[in-house]
Amino acid sequence: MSSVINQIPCGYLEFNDEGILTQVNNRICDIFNYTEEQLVDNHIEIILTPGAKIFYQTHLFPMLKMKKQVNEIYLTFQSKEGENIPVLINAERIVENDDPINRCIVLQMERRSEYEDRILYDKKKAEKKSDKKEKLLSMMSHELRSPLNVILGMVDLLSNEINGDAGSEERKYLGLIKNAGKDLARLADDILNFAKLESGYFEVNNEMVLLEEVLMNSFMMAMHDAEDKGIELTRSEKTELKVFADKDRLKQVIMNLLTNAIKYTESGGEVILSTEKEDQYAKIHIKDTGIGIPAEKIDQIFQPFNQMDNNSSDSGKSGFGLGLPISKKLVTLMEGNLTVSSEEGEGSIFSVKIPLAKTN
Amino acid sequence: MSHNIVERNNVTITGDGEIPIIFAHGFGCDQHMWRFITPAFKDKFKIILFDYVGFGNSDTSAYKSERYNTLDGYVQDVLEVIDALELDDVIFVGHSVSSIIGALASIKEPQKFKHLIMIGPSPCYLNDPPEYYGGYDRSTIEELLQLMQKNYIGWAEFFAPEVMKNEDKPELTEELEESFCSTDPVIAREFAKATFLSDNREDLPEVDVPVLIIQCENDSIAPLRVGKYVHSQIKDSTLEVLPANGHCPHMSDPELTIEAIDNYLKQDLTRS
Repeated sequence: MSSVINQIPCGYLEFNDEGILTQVNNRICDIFNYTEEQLVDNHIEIILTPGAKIFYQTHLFPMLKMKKQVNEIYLTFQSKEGENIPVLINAERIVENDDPINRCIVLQMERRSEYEDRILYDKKKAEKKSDKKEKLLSMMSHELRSPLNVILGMVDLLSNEINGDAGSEERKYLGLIKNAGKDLARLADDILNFAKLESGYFEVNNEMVLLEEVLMNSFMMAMHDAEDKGIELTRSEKTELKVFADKDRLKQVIMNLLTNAIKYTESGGEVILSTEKEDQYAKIHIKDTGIGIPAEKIDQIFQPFNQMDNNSSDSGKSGFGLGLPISKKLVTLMEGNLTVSSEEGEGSIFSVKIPLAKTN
Repeated sequence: MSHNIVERNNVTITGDGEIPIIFAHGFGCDQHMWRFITPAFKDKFKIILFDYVGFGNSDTSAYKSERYNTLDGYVQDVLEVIDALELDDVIFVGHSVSSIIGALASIKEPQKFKHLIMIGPSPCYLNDPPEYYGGYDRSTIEELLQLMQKNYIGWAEFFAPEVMKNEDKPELTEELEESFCSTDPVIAREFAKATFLSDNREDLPEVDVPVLIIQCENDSIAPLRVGKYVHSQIKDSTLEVLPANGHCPHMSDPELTIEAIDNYLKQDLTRS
């Protein structure tokens, strides 16, 4: 053994294909409290724990033999006194005079090993916690949704039962209950969708979709709310574009953006739905003449629960602030992109970029 | 020939002979581990190599935990490969756990097998004192699982989002694949459990085909006494003890291993 190898600040050992140690440096002897004579000509298993012996036979040796080199292998060695010593090894296999030799650098890593264990433990703990949180959210949404469906159904039935003019007090009250119920139902849906998206269990089924169909449906659904609020909802001319997307999810995104635009635009304002083609993408723009977003808040609008920090007392604009984060995630899942440009007091433009279907 | 099975198990067929000889890899590796052995048999045999589902270049999407959480799923793999290739009178060479997988397959369909060649077999790795000493207690297997966890299962779990989703970081996947023969670390953990925690001692007397047991003199995973136990339990068996160390003589001492297989098969070929 050369004096350099004996002086290096890490363990060094060599073994043949039979696993017999042919060389060890001073450091190895120090770490495991053996003399050189007690190690050389013995099997490497003399310094391996029982589990490490299996790992050596089933992983380390086959890998060295097949790939000639292994890096960053964690093993537990054992000192003469039976103390377990975690080590990290890098090894390579060379052939000298027809004799294959496996050469290993051995580094003790007791503290690092503990540190890694701690990180993994904390990560798993955090994941467990997050799973529980999502399960709770999902359960909560479901429990909210069921009675709400009953309330909304009953309101419809009652509306049909009540005779009299459309402006009667009873109809007005029922209308308020229905609107409040719909708001609650939307919030419950947002929570459920958000929980699913966060847990990674949300799937989109992308297929070829006629964009016009999605836009027309969304437009018709939003028209009623726009009219109620005295907002002019218009759209550009019919599009022939076909996109590769999940039809229902794309509709959910467009509806969310149209609803938001109407919500944040004052009576007499305007919301415009338009489309254009850009390279291999369709771009859908929802432009409003509403209140706009202050420059310092524009980065936060796709963050979940951002509205909770705003302490908004305006019940008309209340919510958890989940609609936009959900829309953003959905568009990303459809391999597209959702962006916004806005000027406070002037209005906003939300743009959805979705890949075109190959048949365009 | 069923292409589905052939593709699923990444079956490769070489050799100029007619007699089918299947080589089955053990825990921790894939069919490449046989590359030091197969050239010696290519003139006389039809050599069939395969990867169990979840290993090597098999179709990992075919992996179902409920099928492969015991050795039965791997037994099915062997029998389905034999069926897909329409083979009979197969010589089955299994390393380590594959010795037992081969034995179980031969019990199910003995007519398909002519010989079993077991390299380092162990029907039970756990000690069951006072009658049986497989070599390990449960804590050793737990330690092995922990080493696997720290070496690559942990990596996979830690890097899972990047490995799964980031197409712009293929090096992470490659790193895992190149580091270990197993393609999926979580599958490897299940295979480790199925391998090291199963007990097939009662199955051995059911083996009804001639068996060659190749045993290294010093093997810490399947010690000599276990090889002798297997020999005592299978009526038509021959025990060949190699003057070698370790659990993988087909890799550490391929010449000795080839000689042992060759001598055994030569007798049979001469008889027939």
